[in-house]
Amino acid sequence: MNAYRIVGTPQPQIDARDKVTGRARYTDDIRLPNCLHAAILRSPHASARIRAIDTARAIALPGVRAVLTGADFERTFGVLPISKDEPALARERVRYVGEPVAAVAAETAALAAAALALIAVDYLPTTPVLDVRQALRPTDDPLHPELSHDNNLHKQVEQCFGDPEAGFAQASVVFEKRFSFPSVTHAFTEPHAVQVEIDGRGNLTVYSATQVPHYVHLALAQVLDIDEHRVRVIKPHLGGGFGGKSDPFPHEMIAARLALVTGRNVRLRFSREDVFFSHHGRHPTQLTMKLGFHPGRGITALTGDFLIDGGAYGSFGVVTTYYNGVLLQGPYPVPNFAFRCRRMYTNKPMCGAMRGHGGVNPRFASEVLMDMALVQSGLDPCQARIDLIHRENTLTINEFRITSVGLKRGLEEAMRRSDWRDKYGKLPYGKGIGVACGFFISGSALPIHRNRRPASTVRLTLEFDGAVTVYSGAADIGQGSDTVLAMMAAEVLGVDLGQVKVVAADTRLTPVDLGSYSSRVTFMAGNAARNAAIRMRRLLVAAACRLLELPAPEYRAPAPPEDRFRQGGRSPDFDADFLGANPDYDDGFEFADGRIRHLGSGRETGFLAAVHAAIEGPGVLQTVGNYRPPKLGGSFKGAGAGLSPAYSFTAFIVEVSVDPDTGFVKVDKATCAHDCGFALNPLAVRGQIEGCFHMGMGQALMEEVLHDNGAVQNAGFLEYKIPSPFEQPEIDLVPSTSDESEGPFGAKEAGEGPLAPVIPAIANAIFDAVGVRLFELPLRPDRVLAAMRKATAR
Amino acid sequence: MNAPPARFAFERPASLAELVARLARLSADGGDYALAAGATDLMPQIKRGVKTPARLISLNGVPELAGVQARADGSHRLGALTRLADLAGDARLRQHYPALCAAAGRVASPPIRQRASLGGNLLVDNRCIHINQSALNRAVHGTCFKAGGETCPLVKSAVRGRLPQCQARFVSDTAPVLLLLDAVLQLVSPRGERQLPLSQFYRDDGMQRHVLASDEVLVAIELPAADGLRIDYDKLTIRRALDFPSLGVALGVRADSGGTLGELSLALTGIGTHPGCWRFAAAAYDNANAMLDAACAAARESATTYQQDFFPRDYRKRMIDVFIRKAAQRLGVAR
Repeated sequence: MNAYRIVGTPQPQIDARDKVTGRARYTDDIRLPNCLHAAILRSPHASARIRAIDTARAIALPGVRAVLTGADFERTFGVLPISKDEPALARERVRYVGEPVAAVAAETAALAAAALALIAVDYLPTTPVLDVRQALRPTDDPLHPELSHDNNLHKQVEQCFGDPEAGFAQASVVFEKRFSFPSVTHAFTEPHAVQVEIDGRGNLTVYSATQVPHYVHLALAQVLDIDEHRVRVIKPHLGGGFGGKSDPFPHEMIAARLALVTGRNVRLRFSREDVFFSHHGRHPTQLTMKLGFHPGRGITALTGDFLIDGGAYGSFGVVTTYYNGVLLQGPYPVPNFAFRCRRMYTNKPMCGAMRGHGGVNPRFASEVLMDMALVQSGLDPCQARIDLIHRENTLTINEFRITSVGLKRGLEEAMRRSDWRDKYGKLPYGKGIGVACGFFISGSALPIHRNRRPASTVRLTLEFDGAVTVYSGAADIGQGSDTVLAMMAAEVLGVDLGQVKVVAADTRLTPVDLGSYSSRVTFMAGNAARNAAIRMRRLLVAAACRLLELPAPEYRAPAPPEDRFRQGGRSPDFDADFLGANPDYDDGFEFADGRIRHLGSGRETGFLAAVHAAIEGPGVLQTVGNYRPPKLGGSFKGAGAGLSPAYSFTAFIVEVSVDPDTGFVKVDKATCAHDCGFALNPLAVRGQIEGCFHMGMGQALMEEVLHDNGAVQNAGFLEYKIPSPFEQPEIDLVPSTSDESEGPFGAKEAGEGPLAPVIPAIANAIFDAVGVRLFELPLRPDRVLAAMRKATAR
Repeated sequence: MNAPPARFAFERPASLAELVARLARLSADGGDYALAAGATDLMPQIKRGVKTPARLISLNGVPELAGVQARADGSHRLGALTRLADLAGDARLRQHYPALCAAAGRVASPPIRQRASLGGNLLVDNRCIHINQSALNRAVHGTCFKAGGETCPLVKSAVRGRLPQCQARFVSDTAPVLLLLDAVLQLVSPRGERQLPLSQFYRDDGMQRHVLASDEVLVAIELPAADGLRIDYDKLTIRRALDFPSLGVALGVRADSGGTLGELSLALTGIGTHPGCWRFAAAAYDNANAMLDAACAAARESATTYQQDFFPRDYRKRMIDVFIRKAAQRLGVAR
């Protein structure tokens, strides 16, 4: 492996100083001149017909400039083209408490709020569907009649691979259990906000706290029915997303429409309560899972029946419906596999994507069942998992291409460093240790909108003064994507990190990137940035050769991938200049310390001299790099779900104390092995893993969105319990790397995969501590205590 | 959505005399005001529209409310404005009243304790899931007694104006410890000054929670010398920080002259509308265990729990015994 100067070293995020000193401008910090304040009237009913809306008194209030209702929006929208079922403002009916019904723009925020109080909505309340089982029942009045189901089904997916019945017959132990999961929410720091600037020609610049500027761009143009080029979306600094900002939102449509109607700039911000009403969190899930295991064969069969509560609209729900099943294809081989997942509409705020999308709840079930099977089989649950983890370069039964796998070695190391063998089964009553594993996609291989464009494109410029600018559509949502793109460009070009500026997530200035979801940015935008930098490096090498009177190096065209797991990775526009993914850039030159040195002859020139020589002709140096995933997957229906160019793998070993009198679970320590390939920025990787643990621990032990008559009952951080820093244990991060040939510098994702195994690892540790299994989250003290009392009574 | 942005007048009197005079005038005019020290409980309620005072009167400029005085006899006077962080971190007070300092240090979070005052914690409003809600949710559920309505979502049979009254629960962390310490409140109003034992201060009503008159100010908390009284305070919360107590138990033990257990005392918070407080003299019981059993029984009997909190009501009730016995263990009493 090359000795790198920058990648692989821990780097604080390039905007860290701006953020901690208050210099960073978040969406709501922007001050547009002559700006109107928008406010949204929300439904107090979970289900009702809107008979009439009287806005006359509101519009008559001095200082009110516009009032909108559902009649002002003809088109519905949704992040997925297959479920564009959401109106910007409710039309004819409301489907959840908190649904936007009307909106105003006024000269001050107080006036806007006062105007809302003057809007009279005549509702005819109808019986809401609040329970997912109730949603299964036939009804004459489904939430979305356009789907022509006789109940409130949104999406049903069924897949079967191999012969599950035969698999169960081969098993020596079979466990089947029902599991239940409430809704949890992202709890990002910055509430949603949007500001819309309109120019004299009616063009819109929309500043929004979003993970997906490109999708917001497309949705705005569609919903507002204006040309796409009239919309520009900019994502300013952003305070966390976790999937909660990965859809186009009604408030973005509303603010933009208000700007068009009034010809004025418009601002709109959410309160924390608005965020809870808007939700898009993890789907509440009822699931039954059955696992067959044989000590000599491993998992012989796995089947699952999932019922997920989607709330009122589609969001990413179709993807979630698939992910609940298909993301069980790792980290161990499952030769016989079947699942059914049904996503139901209910009269509650919609669910969508949330960190670990669709894979988290099923992972809890499979890893608890796995633990039960291993314990029952008399095997060490940690060693047995190590033995079972996928080998490198395998194909799963549903045709996921598994390339690099570094977890076997990583979990061995974690097992050693956590003193597993001295602790498991040997700690005193009330103390326990548990383990669980997981895996996750490094970016969805397929785009949401079918097209033949790259998944990510980066433009890179180099100016006369040596300033490097990376233009990328990728949205840094706090995960550090700007930093990692800058690091890669600086590495390839041999410049200081401070010399690289990243211009990102501005749909007018930056090439399209699909957004920050599915853990795709480091892998895909990273490859694009790396390729753009390599092309820039070639321009400089050519100039240096002229200056040094050396022959230009001959670059090999990358061989088309022939590995049997690279199923024809050529893209349609493959040509001699196609760099592929993660190409080598060993050109016989060394770029360092402001010099470019030819290694063969020892001749060297200044970096800036080469820049000046190269720039003479074109006046500006500019290159483009892109990334497109290889063709992957099978040809069966739904084969595209869960396909990724690479997969990350994670294991957590968790130690807990359980108070036998109160049932309180305290997490004492965690040991993590996460295979993110090559850790480009180890500091950011650690941050992601610590964050995943904190979030997973919250879902494991305390988090739950409570509803009362469909209304969110704990719409604030005093009542919705995310763990405090006191609950966060020490995390020992053990090396668990691999070399992912297709990832930039060998990297894979680190932002989502580590979350899922946290929850079952805690549950399995509770079992080791006090001998009880729990199948319902959160693992609240009262539930642990009740299970312990029940176990004692037996 | 939040309630419309709150608008209120703001005043900051510079002396107790000025404050009392101001209160006399304002009460005569109908008195739509709120007194604010740290305002850490008040401001969130104003933001949610639960409280809508037209006028906020800051106590922070009144010197008579500030400061801690130690007397030679071991007694102390704690100004009502004493910040919880200062109380929690006061090394000298900790020698006298370690449980009070510890309880103060368990309130909310470090930033809130920097502003929140001891007086404010004693006067913290009772809470219920039905009133401490967003404006939209309160609208969805209709009103409760505390929101001026005619029904109680918690006790469906309750009728406004009759017992049982509003069941919003008491959540002060410092009150149970101060009760066991026999704290006396120094109250000042236009009618003069009075001393009221804390044990006579609270009422069994989630709305009219105490006997403080609307024009009356809590000036200071008088504490007698701890005199061999050892107290343990612990609270039931899912998180180590931030949360109000779902249950709080203060257990006190005082040795008699012979060094054996003379008196056991108990106060509860987080459950019920006001802090329960009980004392058990050794003379009436066979041994310490019997005293402890009596304490558990008294607490259990008095505590009516409702589903109004993170923890299920049965669990909160069950934890009363557990918390009392754990406290007793830590204090070295009985089992």
